[in-house]
Parts: sequence; structure tokens; C-alpha cells
Amino acid sequence: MIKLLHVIAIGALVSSALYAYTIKYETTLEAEQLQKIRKKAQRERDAIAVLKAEWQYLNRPDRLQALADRHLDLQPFSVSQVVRIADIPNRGPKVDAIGRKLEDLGLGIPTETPKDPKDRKASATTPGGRP
Amino acid sequence: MKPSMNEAQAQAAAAQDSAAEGEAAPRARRFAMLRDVFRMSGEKSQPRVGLVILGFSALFLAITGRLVMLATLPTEQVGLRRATSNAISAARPDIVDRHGNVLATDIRTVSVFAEPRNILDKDEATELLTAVLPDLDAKELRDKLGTKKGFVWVKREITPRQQAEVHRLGIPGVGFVPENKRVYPNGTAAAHVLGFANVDNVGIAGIEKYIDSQGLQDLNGAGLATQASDLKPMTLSIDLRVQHALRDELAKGIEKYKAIAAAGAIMDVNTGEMIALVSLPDFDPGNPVDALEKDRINRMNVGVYEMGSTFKALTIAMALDAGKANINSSYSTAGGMMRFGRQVIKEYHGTGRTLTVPEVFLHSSNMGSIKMALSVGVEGHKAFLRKMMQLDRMTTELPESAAPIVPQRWGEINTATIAFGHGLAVAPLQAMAAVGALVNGGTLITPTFLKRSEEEAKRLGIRVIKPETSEAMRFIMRLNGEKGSARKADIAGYFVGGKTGTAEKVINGRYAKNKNFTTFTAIAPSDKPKYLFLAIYDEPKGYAESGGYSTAAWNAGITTGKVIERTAPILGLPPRFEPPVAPFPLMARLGAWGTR
Repeated sequence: MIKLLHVIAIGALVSSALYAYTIKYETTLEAEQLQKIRKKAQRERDAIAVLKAEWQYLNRPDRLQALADRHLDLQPFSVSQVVRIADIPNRGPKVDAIGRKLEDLGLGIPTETPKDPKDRKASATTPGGRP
Repeated sequence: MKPSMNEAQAQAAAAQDSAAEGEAAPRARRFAMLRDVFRMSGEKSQPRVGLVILGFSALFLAITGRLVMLATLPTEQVGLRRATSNAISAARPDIVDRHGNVLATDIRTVSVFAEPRNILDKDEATELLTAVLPDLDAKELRDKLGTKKGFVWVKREITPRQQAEVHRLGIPGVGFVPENKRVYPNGTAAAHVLGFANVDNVGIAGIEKYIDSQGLQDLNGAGLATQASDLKPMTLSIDLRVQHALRDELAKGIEKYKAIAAAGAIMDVNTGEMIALVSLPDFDPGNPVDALEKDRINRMNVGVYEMGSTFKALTIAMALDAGKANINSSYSTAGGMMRFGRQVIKEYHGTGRTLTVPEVFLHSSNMGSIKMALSVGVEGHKAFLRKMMQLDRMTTELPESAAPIVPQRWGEINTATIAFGHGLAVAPLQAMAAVGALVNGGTLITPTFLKRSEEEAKRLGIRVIKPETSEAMRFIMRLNGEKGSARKADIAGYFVGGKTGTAEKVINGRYAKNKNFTTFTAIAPSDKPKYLFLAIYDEPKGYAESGGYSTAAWNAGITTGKVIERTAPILGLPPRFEPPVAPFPLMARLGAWGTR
């Protein structure tokens, strides 16, 4: 009886020791992994910082201006190019699409003509009219 | 026999002893006492314990002494880690503009160091290192390695390829440390605001120095905050796009008007935020070799200048606010000159008639301004200018600043000349703060380079003039933009108001007739100003289209107009097609000149 107890106790001791060692090795392994990942993250962060700086370097205004001057036909913005909503002529009344088609085919009766040219003229004055 | 022998011996010994008894006896007794102490016996335990106490006390004293020594003396036995942490450049927070664009950031680089004590063959090491890093000075390096120091830099901030090559040399006692390198991706844009940091990442000028003064260096000294991610980025009030546009226009202007220098700034009058600040010639903060040359100073902040007619705005505001004049007061300019003792002050654009207050501003009448200033009096004038922060050094976040040059004895003649902007030299930034207060409703806000909300600005602002006076100032500035000397900047749709200022430069104590210092101050939109624009040229020359004129309207005025046209869409100023309805109700009610 006592012998059995001894065997059990020794067995428990050995297995617990084994378990403790596995846990320890796993922990070490995880810690190493963590260290590696941390290092990698730091490298990535550094790389991001470099890329950010480079992005801004490539987007610096004087370079963009030089490129725009060379490759684009854009003009500086001028107030006279802006139109108020109120200055935009109203959309014409809704057109009957089928009727339009008939007209295009030369079948239709005379339909929509541009409405009231006088009115349009009045609203189209001075886009960006100077005060 | 034996005993007799013994006796004889004992006798002989006793005879000998009696001679040496004087000294040997106490020694023996002491020895016996010590032996007693260590003999296991109850009654002797007390001195034994005492001895143990003594021994341990000595031990602890020694340890304590050593600790104190280590703590107080800067011993030479500092470890390598300590040495490097003192030497490598610390992280700095990023600097971003008001929209988050990076203005300055840290990137990681690698530096090579050496431990001279651990290098076996110093000549060989020098030879190998200079072969891989050819721009090193061999003699200097040999000297460095010859010292007894634990740590010396071989080369800072090397490329990854160089690092690989040095690594392959495999010299014992040579190693690498990762470091932070400060980069300014936008080059010269905002150079004077940012300042720069040296190779150890210590701020030398501008906002960089300001960051350090906020306690960053102390943090580093304590070994904290060596990672940029620990530090919050610093958000400036600068708008990079506007900053670039302003610099570009000023640079074009310098070329066209052949000026020796230029400066400009844009300020939000309601918050005091500086949206842009340019001073030309400038430098590249990433390579600041010429940053400390004399002509590279920040002319907005460090230069002090006589602002010329721009100061008339202050004079008029003072007279109106003090109640010594109202918008309909009139001043005679008959004669075209005034005499103060031996000095004579002439009208520049003489009209010879009687001018109302708006006309004094429009015709930039010296005599009108003088009469207004004199009506307030010398003391009142001084007090007003002090209130407007024109007589003391203005401190902002930028560590560089200059105190104004104030006349030492301020008499009537000084008040007379200062009334039209001569005789008092202030930093242009200071003048901007004052003009901002004149037009924003009467609150003086110290300019800032950090982002700030309107509420905060309201809290910090000081009321200096009445809102009605501010309306009058806006009115006459707009009038000047419409009909007066500021027409060149009257960009349609933005309702611009402004004032030119041309001061003759003082060369060797005399005003030089042909050397001008021109300024142009503009506000937009005049009915409810949001931005204040300033452009300055130093010694601009006349050119063909200007008919040879080099006064402010022909250079600073034109530049300001271009700047407004170019930056207003970026700044979010909507163009308007009709002039605002009743922009200046009070002026209209008073029937001021120009409203009819």
C-alpha cells in the first residue's frame, strides 16, 4: 500500500516537473517571439516614418508647383470664373423623349423651342460680376 | 635531579623575566583577554557580541560610503549604455501644419561609434574605417581613437550600405547605435517659423527651440521620451499651402523689383494665428549652414523698421478713440509743411486743402496725422502706443525677437514724426498685431504660431479700442482700397481694404531719398475682416510699368494683391459678387466722407 503511494507520489512529482518545464520553455519561446515582433513593429514604425517623410517630400508645394507648371495647362483661379447659383440659367421644362425622337426622325409636330430668350439673357449676365 | 634542573631553569627564566617584565607582562595579559573572549563561556559573551557588532558596522559603513561615492561622483566607470544614451540624439515630436501636413519629423538612422579602450590596433582601425568612410579625416580619427575615453563618435548618420561595410570590417570596439535624424521635407517653406535642430537633435532656433524650452530636454536628460511615438505632434497655425504661395509671390517680387529683401505674413485677426510667415532670403532647415548669416534674420520678428504710413492708421484710431476727432473732423493742410523748431515736415502728396479724416488717410497726409496726434498729446500718444504693444518687445513662441527702438526723449517732434510712422522702429509682427486689433472690433491679441481656437483668443485678448472706432478704421481702409493708394490689391469679390506705407531708410543717420522700405497692409473682407495680409520690401527699385516709382503701391501692393487672389480660395474666403449691404452702418449714419 505504502509502496503504491510512493510510486504515485514519484509519478506526480515527475509529471509536475515535466509540466513546469514545458510551461517554462513555452514562456521563453513566447517571450522571444514577442521580442521579435516588437522589433519588427519598431522597424515597421521606422519605415512608416521614413515613408511619411518621403511622401511629404514628394508632395512639397514647390515641387508640385514646378510639376504643375510643366505638365498641366491650368491657370490660376480667378474670381471671374465663379458663377453664382442664381446666375445659372434654369433648366428648360421637361421634354417628352419620345416626342423628341419623333421630331428627330422628322415625324413630329413642332415641339419645344428654347423658352423666352429675353429672360435667359438677363440671368446670364456677369458671371462673377464685379461689385 | 630533574626538579632541581627545572628549578634552575625557572630561576634563570625568572631572572631574565625580571629584566623584560616592564613591557612583556601587559602584552601577555591583553593576549590572554582576547583568548578569554573567544573561549566558550557564558560570562564573556558580551564583549564577543560587541565585537561582532563592530565588524558588521564597519562592513555596512564601507558599503554606504561606496554607495554615496557612486551616487555623487561622476565616475569614469560609466557604462557604454550610459555614454551612448547621453550622446545619441533624442527623439523630437513631429511638427505639423494646421491641416496635419508634416513640416518636421524624425527618421531612424545609424551612427558608428568606437570604444577606444577596447580597440587593440588603433592604426589599423583608423585605416580600415577611413577606407570604408572616405569622407572621414584620418588624422582626426586617429586622435580620437588615441584618447582614453570610453566612447567616441566615428561618424553620425551613415547610410545602410556604409553600415554593412563597417560591419563587415569586424573591428572589435566599433559598434552602431540607432539615432533619430530630423528632416524637413518641405525644404525652405516655413524655414523661419520652424527654425532647425542640430545633429544632436537639440533645437537651435524657431519652434524647434521653443519645443526644447517646453521641457523636452529635461525629459531626455531623465532618460525618458526617446521615441517619437511617445510625443504628441505639435500643431502649428501655419498653413503650408498658403505659406508656399506667399513665399513664391514674394520671391517673384524680389526678382521683379530688385529688392534686397522681402517679408510677408498672413494673420487670422480673430484668433491671432499666423497662417503664414515668410522672410526672404531664407535657408533650408535641413542644411542650415547659412542660417545664422546676418541677412537671413527673420525680418518679421527680429528686424525692427519704421513702418511709415501704416502707422497713420494707429494715429487716426487713437484720435477717434480718444474722442479728439470724429469721422467728420477736418484738418487744414494749407502751406504743405509744418515746422518744429529747426525741423520741417512736408506733405508727400500735398493737396493744400482742408481734409476730412478719411481723406487724411486716403491722401496719406502727414500734416493731418500730426495734428491728430498732437490733439491727443505726447503722453496720450505714448500711452496709446504702449497699450497697442508698440513700445515693448513682443514675445511669441518664436524665441527670436527684437525690442522696438523707441526715442529716448519723447518730445512733441517725436510724437509728430511717429504719427506718420517715422522715429519709432517696431517689428512688423508687432505692427500687424496692432492693425489686427484696429480692424477686428478692438481686441488686441498677441500673435501665435500654434493652433488656437477663437474662444481661447477671446479669453487672451485685451480690448484696446471701441468697436465703433474699429468700424471707422475698417471703413477708411476699405475706402483706401476702393479709391486710394491700395487699389492695386483690390481683388474683385473679396472687398479688400488696405494701407500702403513707404518709409525712407536711414543710412548713416540720415534718411536716404532713394532707398525705400515699403509695406502694404491689407484686410479681407473689410466688412468683417478675417485675414490680415502684410508684404514688405527692402529697397525695391522702380521699373518700367511703374514709371520709375518704388513706393509701396507699386511693389508691396501688387504682391499683396496677387497673394490675396491666390490664397483666398485656399483660406476659404468666399468671393462675393455684390458689395455687402450696409457694411458700415455707423459711418453711413454719420454721413462720413466717401459714404455719399
